[in-house]
Amino acid sequence: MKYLLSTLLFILAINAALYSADYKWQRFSGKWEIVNSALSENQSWISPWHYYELLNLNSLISLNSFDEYSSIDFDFNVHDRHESPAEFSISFAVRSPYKKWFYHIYSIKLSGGFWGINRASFIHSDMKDKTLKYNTKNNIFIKELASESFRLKYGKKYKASIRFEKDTVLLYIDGEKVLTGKMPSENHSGRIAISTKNTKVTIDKIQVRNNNAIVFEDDFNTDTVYVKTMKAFVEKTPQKTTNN
Amino acid sequence: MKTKMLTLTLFISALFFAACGDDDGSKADLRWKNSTSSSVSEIKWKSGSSTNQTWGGTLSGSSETSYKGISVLTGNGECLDNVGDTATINLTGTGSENATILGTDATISENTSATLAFDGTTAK
Repeated sequence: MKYLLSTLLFILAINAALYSADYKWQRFSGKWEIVNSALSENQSWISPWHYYELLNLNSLISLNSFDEYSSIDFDFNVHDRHESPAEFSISFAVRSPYKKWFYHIYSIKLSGGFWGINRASFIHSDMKDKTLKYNTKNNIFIKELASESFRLKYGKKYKASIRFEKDTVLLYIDGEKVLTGKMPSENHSGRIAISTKNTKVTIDKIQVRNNNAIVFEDDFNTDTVYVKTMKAFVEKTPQKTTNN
Repeated sequence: MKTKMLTLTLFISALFFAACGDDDGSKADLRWKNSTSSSVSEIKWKSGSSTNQTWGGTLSGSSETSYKGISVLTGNGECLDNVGDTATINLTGTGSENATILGTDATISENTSATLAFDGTTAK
């Protein structure tokens, strides 16, 4: 009886610890870590899955969806470029037609080469043929809706603000407007995502605002990234020689 | 004499083709078994900065993939389930005579076949 009670208490304690964790993001690909109270993607190279676009990059997706908001503000630093093109993007209106197949996105993408970031673009991606199964590979389109040339340095911290004015999306970096894009509709509701490709990126102080009201924020002072893991073990099998 | 030369030539050719024919660079065979109730859409065997092998097709509960050759013996896994969630594969236990676990990596012994079996999901 005593043993049963202590086992029950142990299970309850484990469950309480698991569910009290204040997760705000889910890691979908890449190696995302909290380092010095900031979020970092430290893998740099990508391992694409070839389903939806966020899975072709190193991506982190918010656990919550946002309906009413007027801006996304954050600090960022693109560093340790691994190869070209180096890319960093913030996606919004991240929506799935079924469970977590997040095909629908709008993204503000910063991309660059050896010397630094040299381009900002506004893209839209979604399922190409909606009659096919969700786990069909390469069934997406990527459409560039706007782009601008501009320069940012690697290894330097910048403040970014993505603002929404009806169907218009504006990107400001350190207070300067660098990109304007038009969405087909005013609807930008959905989750938000952070993605990288071929470079490391550090993000901090991200806020989703509806005018002056803060809808969501993360200063990464605690680990808010949920990483789903599948437990596996080695099954004992009879030894077999391969054809080498 | 002519027949002997012809037989010898054929024998050497056969040896040559046998030596080159099946070498796809794999060093061991690996398969995955799903002992959970959820289905898995795709599994990757990764090492360093590259994906060494993939297993596609839906792997439903209590089923297993076919064996596939791997050319990198030490690696770790990642999978995509039918819900659209990706998961890192957390290898547990001590292993067996043909595969050892060290940290998050497994090392498969050369010229053997190994089975890695899923037995549940968790958070990090």
